Amino acid sequence: MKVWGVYASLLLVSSLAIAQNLPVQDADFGCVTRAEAEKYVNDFRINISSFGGWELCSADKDTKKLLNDLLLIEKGSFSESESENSLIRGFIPQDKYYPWLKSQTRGVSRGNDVPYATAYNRMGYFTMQDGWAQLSTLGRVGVMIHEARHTAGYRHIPCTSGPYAGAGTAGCDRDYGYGGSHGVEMEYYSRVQLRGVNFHPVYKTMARLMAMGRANFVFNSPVLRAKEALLAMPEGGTDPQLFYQGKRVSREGPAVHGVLKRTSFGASIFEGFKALAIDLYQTSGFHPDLPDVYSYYKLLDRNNGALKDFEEYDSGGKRYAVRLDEQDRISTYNFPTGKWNPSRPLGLSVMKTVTTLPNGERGYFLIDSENRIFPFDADKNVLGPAKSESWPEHIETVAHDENGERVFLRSDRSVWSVSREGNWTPYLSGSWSSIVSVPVYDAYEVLP
Amino acid sequence: MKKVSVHPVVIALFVLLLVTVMPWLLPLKHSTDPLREPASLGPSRPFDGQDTKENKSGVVASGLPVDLGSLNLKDWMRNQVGQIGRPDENPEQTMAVLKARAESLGTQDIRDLEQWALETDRSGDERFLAVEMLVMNPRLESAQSLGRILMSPEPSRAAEPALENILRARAVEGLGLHPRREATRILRDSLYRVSDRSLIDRGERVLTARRGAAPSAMDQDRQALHSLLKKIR
Repeated sequence: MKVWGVYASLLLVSSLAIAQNLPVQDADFGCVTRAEAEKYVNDFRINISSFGGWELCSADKDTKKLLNDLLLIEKGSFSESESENSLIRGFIPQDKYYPWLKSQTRGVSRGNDVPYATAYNRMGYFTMQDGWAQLSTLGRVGVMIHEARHTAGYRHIPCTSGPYAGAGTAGCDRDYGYGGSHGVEMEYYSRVQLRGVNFHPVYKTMARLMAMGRANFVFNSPVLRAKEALLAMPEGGTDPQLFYQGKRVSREGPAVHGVLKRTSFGASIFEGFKALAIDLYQTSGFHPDLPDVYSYYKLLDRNNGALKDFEEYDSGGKRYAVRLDEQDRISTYNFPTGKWNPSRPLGLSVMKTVTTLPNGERGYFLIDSENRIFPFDADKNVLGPAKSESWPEHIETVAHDENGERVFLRSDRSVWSVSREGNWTPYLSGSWSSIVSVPVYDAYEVLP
Repeated sequence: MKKVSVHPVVIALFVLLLVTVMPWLLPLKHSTDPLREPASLGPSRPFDGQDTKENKSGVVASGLPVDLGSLNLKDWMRNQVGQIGRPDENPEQTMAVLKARAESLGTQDIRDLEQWALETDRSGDERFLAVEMLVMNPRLESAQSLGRILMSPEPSRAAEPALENILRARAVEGLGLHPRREATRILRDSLYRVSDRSLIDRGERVLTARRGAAPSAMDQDRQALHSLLKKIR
């Protein structure tokens, strides 16, 4: 028994000793071996001194960051999807990231000669800037893969949509299918999320969100789109009809007369004082008057009088909420402060508001009694100059259906679509009082 | 002289103990040479890159359990952050370790994690891990922290703008996954302070999924990325 007691004591001592010596610094854990480091330096012709000199252990040093990234690229592995033919490859073969990267790299150095860039590639020579050193691991690995693609001649073009539209520098690719730098970067993130075998769970989650976040704004043609549907209210009726996936489904509407509005949640009926929600996903059998507390129409609670219009809409990656009162004063919602900005008189009599023009342009537009169209700049809270075209008198509203086709509610209450050649075709039979495009939250659509 | 006899099993156990303890008791060699050569520590080196799996899981090579949870949160986080950028041979085990620690977080831990998640001078890996820990914590305070992270404006000159977005996107998902019912209200209220369309969209997806009317936002993402990969084949 005594012997076992001694052993138990020693076990306790050893456990304490282990606990006290547990490594807590990156340097204690993730040292790269000298052999690994030398291989990476040779394979990629890394200018070690420009990264601050040799460092195999401390991730605070840029050298170690780069070595870590290369190790992850080399050792990261992916499972082959069972349902797909392994003979068909993507942009970069998923088991060849390291040799591919090596083949596209003539040298890597550290600098800050183009401080607005994260990194650049000149004829296969990569220069990692200060911005690179500040990135997360996933961000840095993504930059390496991105830059390597440029070696093969893939170049960016100016952005025509998204947050960088109109920027002076070329930062976008045509589309995902082009297989340029943004494309291979997206492909890597997607593979890490879907097929990554030996990646840290946090890294995988970051990869999923990074792929989704960058899906559209780095391409001039969107890659993923939220699914949309067309909602239309029959003339004289209260139950809106949802047109989705080629089917018509009747939804429950409240017993009030108003105009259909698109909301962040789906749809509402707005009648000046309040908005009542429409459930697009299910019916209860009771036709309930559900106050819309789900979308930004909830902000109507803070309003004392009737409004001529209230709209929430998206533009340039941002959400806006705007209210227009009966005196034609307009104000925008300040999201960070959670308050309305002060109302401003417009100086014109607004007859109608729309969020889509007949040519498909989206935004928030005010139509006056002479059918002039004034775009409203919600960022600056100002009205822009009248557009050269007028609002056509025979059109009430324009919306988009699930295929992105423009659909028109005409003044005679009929609904039409128009082809690219300008030919009008009846779209819905019957008479309708209101149409609107609504978001449907059950999947993303991957665009061709 | 009296002969002392010891049972062979006891001797074997003692030898095993010595083998286990000695490498840890001996002072580790920490070279000041910047080109450190971990291999020079020999086969018993406990802390080089080859042993990260055992260390992070809380089980050392000897098989003895180690209570990594006894480390204070700051050191524990530093320990875990170092793993994010390295190959992980056992992601399920890693997840279990993260979850176990996340579920034991106290009020002050939650406050610290919220603060670290928003400090732009910290590494992106550390900031995202801080959010991930909050996502896995079941307390109401963690839901409130995620709401504040979501509402905090993205810095105008962020070192990694995409990171600022995905941190908040993960906070949205965390509120959607949170076991407390109040998380729905917190998410909805927080979205009123957000103007980023992608975050609002994700928030609406999460709220719809929380009602059982749509798949989770994570599943929707995976489905979309799967279609994307198939598209180029």
